[in-house]
Amino acid sequence: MNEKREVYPFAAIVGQDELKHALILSAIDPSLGGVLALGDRGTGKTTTVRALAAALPTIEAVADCRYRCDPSDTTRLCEQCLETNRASQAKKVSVPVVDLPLGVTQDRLLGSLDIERALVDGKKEFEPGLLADANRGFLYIDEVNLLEDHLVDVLLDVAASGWNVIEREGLSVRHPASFVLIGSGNPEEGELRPQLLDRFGLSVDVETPMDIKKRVEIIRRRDTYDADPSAFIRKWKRETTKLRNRIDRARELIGFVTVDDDVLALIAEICIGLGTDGLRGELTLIKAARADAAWSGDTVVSSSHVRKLAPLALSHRLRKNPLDDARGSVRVERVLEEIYASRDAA
Amino acid sequence: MAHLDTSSQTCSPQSAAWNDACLAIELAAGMVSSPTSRMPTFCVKAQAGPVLDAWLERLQDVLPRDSTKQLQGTARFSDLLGGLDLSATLAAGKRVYEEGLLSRCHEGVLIIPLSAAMMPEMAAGFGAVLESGRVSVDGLSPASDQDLNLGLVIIDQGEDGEEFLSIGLRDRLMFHLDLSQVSLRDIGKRDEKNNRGIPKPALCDAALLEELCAVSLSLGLASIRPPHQALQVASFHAGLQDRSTVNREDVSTAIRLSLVNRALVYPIEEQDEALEEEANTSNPDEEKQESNRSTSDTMPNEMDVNSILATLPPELLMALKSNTNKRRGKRLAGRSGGKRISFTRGKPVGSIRGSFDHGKRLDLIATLRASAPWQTMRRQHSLNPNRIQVRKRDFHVKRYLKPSESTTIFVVDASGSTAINRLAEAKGAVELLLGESYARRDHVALISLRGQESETILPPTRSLTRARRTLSGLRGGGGTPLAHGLQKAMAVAQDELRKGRSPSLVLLTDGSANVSLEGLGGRAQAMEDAISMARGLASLEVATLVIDVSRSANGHAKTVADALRAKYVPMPFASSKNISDAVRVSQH
Repeated sequence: MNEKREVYPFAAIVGQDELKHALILSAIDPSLGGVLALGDRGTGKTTTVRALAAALPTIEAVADCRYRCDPSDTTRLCEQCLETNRASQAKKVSVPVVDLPLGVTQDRLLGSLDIERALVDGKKEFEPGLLADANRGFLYIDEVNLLEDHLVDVLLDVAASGWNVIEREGLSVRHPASFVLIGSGNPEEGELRPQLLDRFGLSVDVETPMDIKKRVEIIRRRDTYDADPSAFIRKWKRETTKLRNRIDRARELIGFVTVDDDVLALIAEICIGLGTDGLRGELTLIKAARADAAWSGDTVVSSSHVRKLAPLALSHRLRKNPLDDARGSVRVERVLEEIYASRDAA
Repeated sequence: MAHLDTSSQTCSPQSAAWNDACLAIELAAGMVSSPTSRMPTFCVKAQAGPVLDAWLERLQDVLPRDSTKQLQGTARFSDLLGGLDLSATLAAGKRVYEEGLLSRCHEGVLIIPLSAAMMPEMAAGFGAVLESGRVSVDGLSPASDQDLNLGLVIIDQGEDGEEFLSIGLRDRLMFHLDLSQVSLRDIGKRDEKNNRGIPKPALCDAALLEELCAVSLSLGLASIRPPHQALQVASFHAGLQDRSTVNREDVSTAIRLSLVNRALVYPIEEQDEALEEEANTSNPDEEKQESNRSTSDTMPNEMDVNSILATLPPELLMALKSNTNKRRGKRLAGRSGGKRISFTRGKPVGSIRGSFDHGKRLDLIATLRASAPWQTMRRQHSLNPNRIQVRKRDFHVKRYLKPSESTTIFVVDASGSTAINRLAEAKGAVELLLGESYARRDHVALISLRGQESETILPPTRSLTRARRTLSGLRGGGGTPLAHGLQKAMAVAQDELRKGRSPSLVLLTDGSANVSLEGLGGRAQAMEDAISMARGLASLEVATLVIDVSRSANGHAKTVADALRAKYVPMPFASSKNISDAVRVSQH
């Protein structure tokens, strides 16, 4: 499916630096909790997300497993992989990107009774849904703010645990479903529930470039791509490989990146200053800063990494202040300036 | 190609629109026959009638035979996908799929007349198909993915500035045509068919592409898709005329065919110049069109734009100048009223398991589908094993979505006292709010207070143009029949509530009522009436905003606002944020 399709190269995307960076970080550390891209239409959100998956290194998966179980991680195998010995047979597969269409049914999302088997053999068997397809990959929800509530609930449950548990229609199935949640939408068309907002690791405000030159460049590239996709992809192959290698290196390095107590204190200070609810903000910021350090080849997280990532990790976790119309990122920036100024002074 | 050259003959704007529509067909045909062979996508604003039929006929003529299909806009997206053929599956004992309408539309064109707003789910579905060029046969298994080169003709039958097609999908359509003003006599005689060669898309130099981008921005189209589509139109237009580079005429044609009819803001001030410049370089009939547009849509002369700009708070000004303001799209993008699930009426949104009493409607297919897996098992315990075994727990009932739209009712004080003070500003503010309501596709109503009685000069409508025109005709002078105005507003609000919309009220006044409910003078009685009417109105619990337009806040407007339990905003300190926030908050 995805493998065969031609995708606009990630490296060829003009602008969108914040979104690209956020996506790369969550590719380096999938436990970051995904990316929420808020912004207007036609800003290239979808293109960017698709492009990233195509640029990522392939992953090892159990050959006959529908859930793409990781043979090297025995704690996250599905029931069949645990029972049989097939985990020894591995193959390389590309990272899946699964689209969650707005009108999706709960059956389709979670998986349901296999009607064919039920009709033909009178047997109850499980037919995996989109969550199974998305295991170890990306689950992309365009217009996430318009998603129906009951689906949001289901998604939150699974995203939190990394496991999809089905107890319905006489079925009892449990399979791994850990995925990087990528959402996009226009907040003016409907607010996101705070629970769902909080679940996203990083949030990015996506804006249409208003610079005419930039717009011209975007249209030019897109036009060239449309005319001959394969040639365009070939032209960008070097860049794509470079990106892939850099992500690979960062993934290896991230295990060695350390965070000093001083930086931890700084992160706590920022979160207290902003009054974010819960501790998820702190945790995400630490992880994001660590991934950013790995990406830039550093082995120690410095306050500059924190400074760079704080708006992305925290801006969507602020309480709504009716008197302050400023966007979350602006409010975070304000607090950051205060804190960094006072630290510099001290 | 003489028939392509619409510029050589001068003609009415209506027949120019028709010619453009036909030109779009030519271009579409060219695109279909070109090597990339993308099927064309259209958004056509038109009512059902002979003009539309004639246009569709022409379109079908240039497309491959039998490649068009028609669909009702109220269908569900899942209906378009194929699915499990239940009877065949039961008979064959294995899974049998039937192909959906969509997959049969590969390299074809789907015509969708919209007589009501398209469901978001449907729009999202089409959007995804257009974006990816793929669809899965049953909408379920990714394994059944197949290519889908889909052409779309969406006929938006919204009248009076009303639009049924969501911005999201509109953004992805290439040609935007308006046939709503065209009548049968505007349709010229059909040209003889020329032998079209296969056009090669032409190249576009940077300067022209820049121009295209700039115009698209000035029309409020922040998205990157419209200029890209316009570029394609321009390069095919050049290609059809055997030119290898795009020239200005191609660009202006592309702007006409692809951009102008979906403009979110009509360019005013400096944007006008940009467009004027555009028009100058193009053909005469377009110029005519453009000038037509600008006379009807820009603000009236009596209201000096600049003087209002000067007196309004700077933030309001920012919003007014928002043609190039990137925040606008965000702030003003569509927001509909609350939606309510219903079991009886509205648009279908799938079905859920449940008993079908109280007028709920049974979803037969879903019910059968739910019962299908159990047939083998149930038959073994059934007295009538030959019948389809349906149990109560299989019942699925249909659910419907009733969108509750919102209506903003403006009550504008045009009395002598206000006129002297700040009628111009009041109008400017209303205009801004109207613009916002329009961008959100809300309904707007306008009641004026002047002389002995108030008057509903604009019943709830979605047409900004109409509202603007009415507003420009609003003259000042006379008394302030505040009580009467509030009574009118109450009637309109109640009416809107009955229609299932959520009304909100914006009152622009200095609050010094001097005409009583009976139409008599006398400040004391007038004020008393106004206050009691305001209390009555407050009981409707309609969100209300009072904008005090008096020069010195004399407290009258505040008193009225309190009686209305309304949010009170004195104009000197009002910011666009305050106003638009207040309106938005009040509409929730």
